[in-house]
Amino acid sequence: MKINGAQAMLESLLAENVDVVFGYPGGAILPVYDALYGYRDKIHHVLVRHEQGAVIAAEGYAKSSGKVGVCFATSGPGATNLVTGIADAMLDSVPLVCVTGQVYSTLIGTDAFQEADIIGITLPITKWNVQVTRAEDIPAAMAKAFYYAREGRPGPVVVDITKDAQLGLLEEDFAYQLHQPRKEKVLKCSDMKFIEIADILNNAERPLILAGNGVGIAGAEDELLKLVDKATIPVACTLHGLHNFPSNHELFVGLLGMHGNYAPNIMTNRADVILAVGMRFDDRVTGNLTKYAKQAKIIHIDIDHAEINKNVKSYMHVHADAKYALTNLLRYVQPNKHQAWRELFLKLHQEEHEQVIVPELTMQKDTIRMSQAVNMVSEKTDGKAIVVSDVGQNQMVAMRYYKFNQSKSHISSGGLGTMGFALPAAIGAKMANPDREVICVSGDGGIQMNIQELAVISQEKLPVKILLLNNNYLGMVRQWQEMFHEERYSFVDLHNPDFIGIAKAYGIKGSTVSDPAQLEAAVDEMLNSKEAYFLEVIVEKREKVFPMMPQGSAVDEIRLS
Amino acid sequence: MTKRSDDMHIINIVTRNSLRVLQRISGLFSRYSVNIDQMSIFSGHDGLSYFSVIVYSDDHSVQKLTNQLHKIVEVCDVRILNHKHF
Repeated sequence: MKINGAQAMLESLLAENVDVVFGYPGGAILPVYDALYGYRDKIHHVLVRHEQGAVIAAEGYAKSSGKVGVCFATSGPGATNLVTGIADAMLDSVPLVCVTGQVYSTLIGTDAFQEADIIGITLPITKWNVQVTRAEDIPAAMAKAFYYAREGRPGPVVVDITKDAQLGLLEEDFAYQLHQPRKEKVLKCSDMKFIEIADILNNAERPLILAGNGVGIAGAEDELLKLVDKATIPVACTLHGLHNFPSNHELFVGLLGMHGNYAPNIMTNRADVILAVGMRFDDRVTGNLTKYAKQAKIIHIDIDHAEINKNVKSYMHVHADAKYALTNLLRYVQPNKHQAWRELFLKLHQEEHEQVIVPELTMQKDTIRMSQAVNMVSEKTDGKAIVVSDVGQNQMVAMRYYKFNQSKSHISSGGLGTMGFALPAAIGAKMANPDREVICVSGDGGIQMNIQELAVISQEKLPVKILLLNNNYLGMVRQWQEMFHEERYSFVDLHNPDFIGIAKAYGIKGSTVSDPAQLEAAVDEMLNSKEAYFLEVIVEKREKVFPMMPQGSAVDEIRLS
Repeated sequence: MTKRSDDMHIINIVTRNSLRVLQRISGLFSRYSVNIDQMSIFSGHDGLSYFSVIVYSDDHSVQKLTNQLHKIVEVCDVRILNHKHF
């Protein structure tokens, strides 16, 4: 039977085991939506309310499942609305296939209605993109798209299909072949190199492991744990690496970066050997590069060769997948103790504990702090929920106070810092993990950037829990203005709507809590709810997130106040 | 911009000949602030395109740019010649 290009695209998705897509219809992608009607029982299409919601939901789906996220949008404004999410996925290495409709191939270049050069626009923010103008080219283009989305360091791919290609009939019967490049890159490393690296680790007196997103992408969480247990090396994690190592492990020393923990940041500049696994020395992690870990021999494991020596010069590197590298390294590392070195971390952690954590978590009479709300949710969910955070103070607090002990649990926008990320990403995460508790932690600024997606939660009956930390301020910007701009609070004061009224209008239950004495009951009600729940916590207005490493300062200049 | 002969690099790139490959390549040069001094391209009968790009920039910038060039799906090979080769 002859099928058309739109059907071929959907058949390609089935061949890639895709059963959930996020999208929004429109003129130039109508043939796909027409075909989708016949695939309703095989492909669950989630109708978002803005294309940015679709692409970010696909990211949440991909990050929480390890599968490729798929989204659809129409040409022109539909496609350009995807751009922020695509850039976000590029920086955070999220495998996405974004299918966009395009005007008829005969109209391209005529400034036709809803025409935009989405290939040109997304060129610097995709791993690969392609425009398809003939129906018969669709299966191969889709196969290539899925291959490049997953291959090596994952990332987003855009497939732009003209309306005539969607409508055209395939000349031959549909056949789908997984893309196979002529020369497959096999990243290997000699045993000698692993022996040499293990030797450096074995002889190190003050070794430190920095674990990043790559550990989770490669599925190397167990290998990391085994290596750490065998060699007894402290582990610090990046924002995206956080859920890749159990936070209750005795060798976990905390979070790296600008608002990370005190000990790992300071100790980065005391370590003699640093093993960086699947992380890219982002500026938020390194602070001032000229003062970053100059004393240490840095061993960098990364699957992306362009990351090696990009920001930080490594003493040795392994250009390979983290699972492969750690498995091999495990064979040669020797058991060790590093007792004195580990005690230094404990001492610094104690300082942070006394000066920041205890005061923050001590309940006051009149106002709730963000950390108290997150800490309570962490304890009550036993660190087992998927926490989807937005961007800003809420994100830093969620990271610092939620105690993750399972991988694929912390979903956030790290590289691009996309406000409005949490709500749609939580929808995606819930679609991928219907049996896990999904908690969207957002601020009053971020939630309003994609608040329309509440409609999706309601329409799909997704029991997503929304924890809104409302300080009626753009809190992180306000914090910087207070600390570095002489308290000139320029446009950070938000006059907010009645959030619970909005949630209710969308058919979502909710409540507001501002009294510390009521917080526990409110959190219980949210967590016990079988359906979606919107909990607004009115938090202290002028809370600042500490520790903080001011921009331009070194990692060991991190401040506790 | 003064051209220091020590900064001269010839970057030879072989790519599959497809639409937009020039845009992908030149886009990286501008993104990494490496100004193209001269560029010549021809497409062979083998379905490949041959780029020869002359830039004046320091080794580190050129190396970083080259690392990114390798990541373009259509790129098959990248070779750099610098003043040490002449």
